[in-house]
Amino acid sequence: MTGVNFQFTRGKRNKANRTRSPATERVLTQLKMISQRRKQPKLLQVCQEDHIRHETITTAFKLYRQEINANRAKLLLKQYESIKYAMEDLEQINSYLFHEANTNQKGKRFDLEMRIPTEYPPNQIWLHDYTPAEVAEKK
Amino acid sequence: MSAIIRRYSTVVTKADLWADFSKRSASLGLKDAQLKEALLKGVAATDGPVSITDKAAKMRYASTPGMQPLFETAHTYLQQRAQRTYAAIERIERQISETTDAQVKANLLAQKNKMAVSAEQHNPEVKYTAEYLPENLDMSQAAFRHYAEQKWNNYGKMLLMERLETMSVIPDTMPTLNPEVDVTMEFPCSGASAVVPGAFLHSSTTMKPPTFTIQEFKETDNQLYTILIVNPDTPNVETNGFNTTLHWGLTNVLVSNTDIKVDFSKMCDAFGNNKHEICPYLPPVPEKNLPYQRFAVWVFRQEAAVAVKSARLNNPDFDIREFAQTHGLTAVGAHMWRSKWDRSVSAVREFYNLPKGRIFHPHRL
Amino acid sequence: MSLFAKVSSARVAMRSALLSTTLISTLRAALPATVIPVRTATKKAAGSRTSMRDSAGRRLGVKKQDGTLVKIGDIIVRQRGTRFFPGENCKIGRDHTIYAVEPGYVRIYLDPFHPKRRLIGVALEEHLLLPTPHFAPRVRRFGYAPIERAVDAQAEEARMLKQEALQLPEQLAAEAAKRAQDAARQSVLALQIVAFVELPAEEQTLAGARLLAIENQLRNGRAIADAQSITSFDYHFDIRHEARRAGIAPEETERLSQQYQEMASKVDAAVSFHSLTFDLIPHMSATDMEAAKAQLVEQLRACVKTKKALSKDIDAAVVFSAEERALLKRDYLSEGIAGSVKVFNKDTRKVEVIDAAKLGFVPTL
Repeated sequence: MTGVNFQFTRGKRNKANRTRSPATERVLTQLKMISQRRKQPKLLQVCQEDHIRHETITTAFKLYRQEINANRAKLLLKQYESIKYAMEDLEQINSYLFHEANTNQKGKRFDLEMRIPTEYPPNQIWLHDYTPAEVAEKK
Repeated sequence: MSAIIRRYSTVVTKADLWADFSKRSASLGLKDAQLKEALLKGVAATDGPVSITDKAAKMRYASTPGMQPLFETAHTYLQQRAQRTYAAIERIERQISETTDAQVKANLLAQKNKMAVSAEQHNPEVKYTAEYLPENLDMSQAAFRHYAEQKWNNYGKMLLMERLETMSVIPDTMPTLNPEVDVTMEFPCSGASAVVPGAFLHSSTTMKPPTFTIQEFKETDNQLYTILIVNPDTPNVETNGFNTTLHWGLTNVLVSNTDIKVDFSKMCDAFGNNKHEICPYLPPVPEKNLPYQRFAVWVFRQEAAVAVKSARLNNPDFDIREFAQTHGLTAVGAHMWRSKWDRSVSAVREFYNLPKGRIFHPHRL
Repeated sequence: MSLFAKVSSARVAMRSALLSTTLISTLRAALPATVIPVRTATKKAAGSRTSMRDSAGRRLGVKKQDGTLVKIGDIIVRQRGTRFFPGENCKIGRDHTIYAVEPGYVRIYLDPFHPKRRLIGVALEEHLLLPTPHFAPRVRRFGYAPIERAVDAQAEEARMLKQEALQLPEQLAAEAAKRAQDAARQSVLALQIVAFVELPAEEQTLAGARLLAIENQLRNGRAIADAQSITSFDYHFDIRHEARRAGIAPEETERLSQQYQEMASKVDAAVSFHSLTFDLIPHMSATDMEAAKAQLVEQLRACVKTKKALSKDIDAAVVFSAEERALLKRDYLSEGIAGSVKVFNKDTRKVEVIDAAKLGFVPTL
């Protein structure tokens, strides 16, 4: 393969910008198809120091995420348990209210209580007669 | 990326626990100053990595850009976690000193060992040493033991069990094994290096007793072991079956985390006197035209020092299971090799003053 | 037409209409609307050549019932597919025939690990049941007979496989060459040792042998202390067994051992081996060694400023091990980068080959 011109050609290769003979091109294509590079991904060559540095970073991030997730799980468990105990108390105090609180409300898909609380709730909750500004202008 | 760094940088503050060796063992740090610098401060663009020795490759190497601020943040975060773990370890130590109940104490010790691992496990210096300088591991440190155990679990332990089971050492000798210690064996007098479990050894190699290493992965101090070499393939022509022969036995062998060698030459004085041998070494002397013989090395953990009645050992069919049971031994490790007749067997027999070996018909009846 | 006639004619019309609709619907249900069956002339085109043929019975089945005494190779079951699986001491043939590989009593049992599999095994003794308990040792038959006639036994022992016979001369020659080489080296060492320590003439050969053994152990990568203790142990072990063979009194053996031990301690205190060339060098105590090392490092530091060629000096410094030498070279001898280096030029966006030493090239990120 010595003497082959490996000059880079911008864009699609065609007859006008051809630098190699078609025969050479054919051989090259065939060689490329069977080359080991195509069969396996290129091995990342990282020195030992950088490998450990990389591992340190990924481990730290993994542990950081773990910590956050564990805290969240703990909080959720706490919330769940407090609701459970409250319901147990309610059941003993007033079984009617307990039943009312726990009946499945068919068709109600989103609890009002599940709305994310904001610091400044609007005074007017829903604009019933809302019209987009542009439409209003046209009128 | 810079946003991420800023975000986490606000979380962590500076800590240099892993640079302080006043309370921690010096073996947890890297001895090579240049390597340490490259690991903690990043590979210098002018010098190249220390771990690469080839000069041209060194200069050609380009480290990932922008790694250092991320690494520093990660390093500080991990150190803070380690600091919390060390505080917890101190609390456990206080509890240990206060309790008198043996069971509670054992549980606390196990807990402490676990924490000692997690405090140093992610230290980049420890990690580097464990991964790339395995011959320098200080086994008194829990973190190094943890890495050594992981490595053994992934290869040595599986290989050993595969060999013991496929060659039926289990259950022909002991019923089964839950390996807890890494046992290696070599025959130093013949200049041989470490034996791979199940390898065929020449009779001239096995002529003199082997040496062992017993690596414990839990914290041990003054633990006693018994080592037995048995051959379950000794032919018994009268019964048309096989006997088990005890080839060598050592008891009350002291091994710790750091001193793992069981070197018989150091146990004996110049006249071969020692208090560990329960029967003198009998080398493998297989006979011609018989199938290979298996030599199983069993390592038992002792609860206390044992006194062995040697009369039991003269039985032509040695019962290793009964021996282990009567002496309160727990099998924790094993090794094995195989031997076949070769032209040096007669010399070995002559050396040990053994009778001449029989020659068998080449075909099985 | 009267009213009656009108009504009746209407009834008839209704009935006929009803009749016709039910008839058509039943006909439609009975026959597909489009297919009208027509029988045409046929001629048998292809014959039923294979389907008409039936082979004779293959005489399958269990040939030896449970508890029957069988010989080696006896067929126990002929079957299509694996209605039965081969158990202990049985094998399965190409056509799933199960046959015995050991003489004994047929047992049909279930596989404890695959309860739907029926196994066929052969128990070696009449009182034995199968399967053998999972952790119990296997029951094995030996099956070989020793050659009784001494002449035949001798001939059988001398018999070699072709490969062994072909390799033997080469092997003998290699062994002889090694022995000659060892003898030569031993005599050289025996002569050299006199320069380091005064020894009686009869002990010189022994000292030479000891040094040769130590050198061989060192070449195998063992530490000097280990090599010395192994060599001593080897000697004591040898003479103890020699005495037992020749019937020499133990006192005499003890005297020889004592003598050897004295010689060994004298020699070990006097000489050591160079870690690269394995030449004899004067022995140094650990403290002296440390002091010498420190001094040499100081000298190196002083020389670095003058840029003196130090490579050979470091090689000649016998106190350092090979690894220590490599580290010293790295730290104190910064040679120019040798050879060409491939570097990506950002400006021209091309990979350039640069003679690094010539340019004093330092890559940047």
